[in-house]
This record gives sequence, structure tokens and C-alpha cells, in this order.
Amino acid sequence: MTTRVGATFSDNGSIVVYGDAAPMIHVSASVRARDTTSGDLLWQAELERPFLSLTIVGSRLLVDLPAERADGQYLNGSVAELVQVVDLETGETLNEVMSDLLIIAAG
Amino acid sequence: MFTKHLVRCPEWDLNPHDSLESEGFKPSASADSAIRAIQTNYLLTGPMKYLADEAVNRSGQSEVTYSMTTTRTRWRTIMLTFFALAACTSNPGDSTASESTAVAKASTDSATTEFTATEPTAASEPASAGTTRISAASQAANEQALLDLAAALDVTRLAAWSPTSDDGPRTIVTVDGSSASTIDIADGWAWADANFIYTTTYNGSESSSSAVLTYDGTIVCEVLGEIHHATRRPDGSIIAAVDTSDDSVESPEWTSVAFDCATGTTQPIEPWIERTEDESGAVVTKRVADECSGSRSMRKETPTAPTRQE
Repeated sequence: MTTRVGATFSDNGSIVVYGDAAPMIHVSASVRARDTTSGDLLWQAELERPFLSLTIVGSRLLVDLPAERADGQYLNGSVAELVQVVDLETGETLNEVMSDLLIIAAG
Repeated sequence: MFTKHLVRCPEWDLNPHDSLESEGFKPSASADSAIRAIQTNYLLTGPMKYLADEAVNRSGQSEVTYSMTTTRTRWRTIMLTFFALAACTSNPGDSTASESTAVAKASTDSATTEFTATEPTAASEPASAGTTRISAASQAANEQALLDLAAALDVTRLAAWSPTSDDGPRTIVTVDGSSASTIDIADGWAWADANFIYTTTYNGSESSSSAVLTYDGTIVCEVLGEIHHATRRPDGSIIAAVDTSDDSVESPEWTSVAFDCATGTTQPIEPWIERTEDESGAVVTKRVADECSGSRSMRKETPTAPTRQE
């Protein structure tokens, strides 16, 4: 299993999930999943707010979201608040877990 | 240091390397100096500072036990590094997404497990049925919080940055099965994959030390330089991709090598491209292979502004 913050691959490398191409990862609220062989866009999602990390574990994608800030900015100092559990194949949100621990990797 | 580490992302395998100088590299650490660390709390500043000193005064001792020392975290430096490295993780250009493909909207109205707050600093205190606040302030609470998060996410192995204040320590918490560990990152950066935790400690502006730890906190590889990732071979030995330089010379060249953590032997890794960022924030792409062959090729890319798709 490979886990990267910006672009993360499924266990067998068939799917890559990533956000926008941006200088900072947490300015991107857009997440896309693409077939790494055909290049087909499998799904894309506009999150409620920019994400802090993307982690694939098995058939699920863990999206770490920061605490909402009054000024609407999520740059330096952002603290994790919510882990969104997303179906890797469909992009559907399966579950949400409140946590201020910022996920780096899972297996 | 900020610029240096902004442009040298630990997880990149694509770094400048002059193949003609690879013979000059000598591994600065080997299995002979493997750290024996059994407890659950590691202050990497102590070992890494020792490692740097050790590189200067190699004594040939076969085993080193480090004393744990507390060092105040230089939070701002770490945060600068953190966000600089976050920039490194930006994916390759993907603006050509096929918009005709089905779009799934991530939303909160699907099957959602509610976790509501009880005490912001309490560790996983059960509230009413099905409600838990996973938040923590202390090491024990952090570890319990991560154990709870791992259970909630149904994963057996989990690594996460713990929340911290401006003047507090920066720590990684790991869960491996039913046990949890805490790794203090005093002056450096850390990341992880599903198998290992990686740490890099910056020794001044030009040199750095890296370590590979298992999820139970045991250090299994050390080297002067920056480790991208490590892999365990079928025989149990570990091989790591490392960027390193010969700090004994002025303006040393960075070299990418495959580092055998057991023997300290290395093999060169040929790079293909290097991306750096100039003062204006533009990304400069340099084809290292071309440069090595005498035909340098560089082009500048304007940073991509974030866009939203409706």
C-alpha cells in the first residue's frame, strides 16, 4: 500500500486519488479519482472545505478535513477536525469521524 | 533551510545526482550503529544530534544507546517545513480531467456516524451511545485517541500527527494493532507509509539525518541524508532510497542512492528530473539527465491557482 499526502494510490496501483495542482495541498477542496491505466476519471468531489490529507486504505479513502475557521482560510495553522471515509470506487461518503489527529498513513 | 527543503521533498525520488561523483559517497551510518530503542517515547533530537556528532567522530562502536534528552521544539521551523513539504506533495498536473465522467459529490448526508464533542481535551470519553470525541492533549490521551480512531476507521495500523500548540512538541502517534506509540519530532520532519515511519532531522542548513522506524517505534535504519522510503525485502532486511551528500567538501552534490540498512552498502539511483522553486514561486524543472550529459534543459512553470469545479 502506498500512501502519499497529495496523490495516493490504491493497493494495486489501479486508482490514483488527488486534489488540485496547487502550491499547498490544503487550498484544494476538489478530489478526483482516476484509473491509472485508462486515465478515465472515476469520480470527483467538491468537499466542504480544503482537505489536509488523503489516505487510501483498502477500498476506502480517508480524507482529513481541517477545523472550520471563521476567516475561511485553511492555510498555516489548520488543525484536523474531521475524517471523511469515502468509497474509493464511487466517491460516496460512507462515514465521518471527528478527530483532531491528522492522519499520515493507514493500513 | 526553508528554500532548500521546499525544493527537496523527501518522498521524491527525483533529485540531482552527478553519476560521476557517486563513488565518493560513504554511508554515514550502518547497521553497526543501529539504535536500540525499546520504550514507547522517542525524542529523536537526542539520537539525531548524536548521529550527527557521530558522523564527525566515528569511533567504530558497534552499538549505541542514546540517552533521552528533552529539547524544546522549534515549532515555527517545523511548521515552515511542514507546509513547504505539503507543497511538495502536489500531484502532477491533472487539470485535464474528463468532465463528462460521472461526478460523485462527497457529502455529509450519507450514512454518517456521529462523533460529538464532550470535553475537548479528554481522550475518547464515551458520551451517549455511539458518540465519542476523539481529541487529546497529552501523550497517553493522544495514543488512546488514535487507538479509538483506528477502531472507528477499522484499520489496524495508523499514523497521525497529534494536535499541538505553538510552543508544544510536535509528535507523531502510531497504532500497530492494539498498541500505540508516540514519536517526538523535535527539529525536523516526518512522514509515513503503511509500513514505516520516516523522520528527517535538519543539522544546520546543509545536512540532515534520517531514520526509519517501525510502527512500534523501533528505529530500523539511520543514515545521514534524507530517506524517501524504505522497503523490507523477503529476507527481512530493509533497503532505503536516500538522498545524501558528502558534507566534507564545499558545495557538495546531492546523490541518490539505495541504502542497505543492514550492511550500509549503497547503489546509485539515477535521477531523471529535478523540480525547484525560484524566488517568485515559479517551479523550475530541470532535466538532470540532460544536465549530466552537458545539454541542460530548463523550463519554468507558473504555479497553478486553485480552481473549483461546480
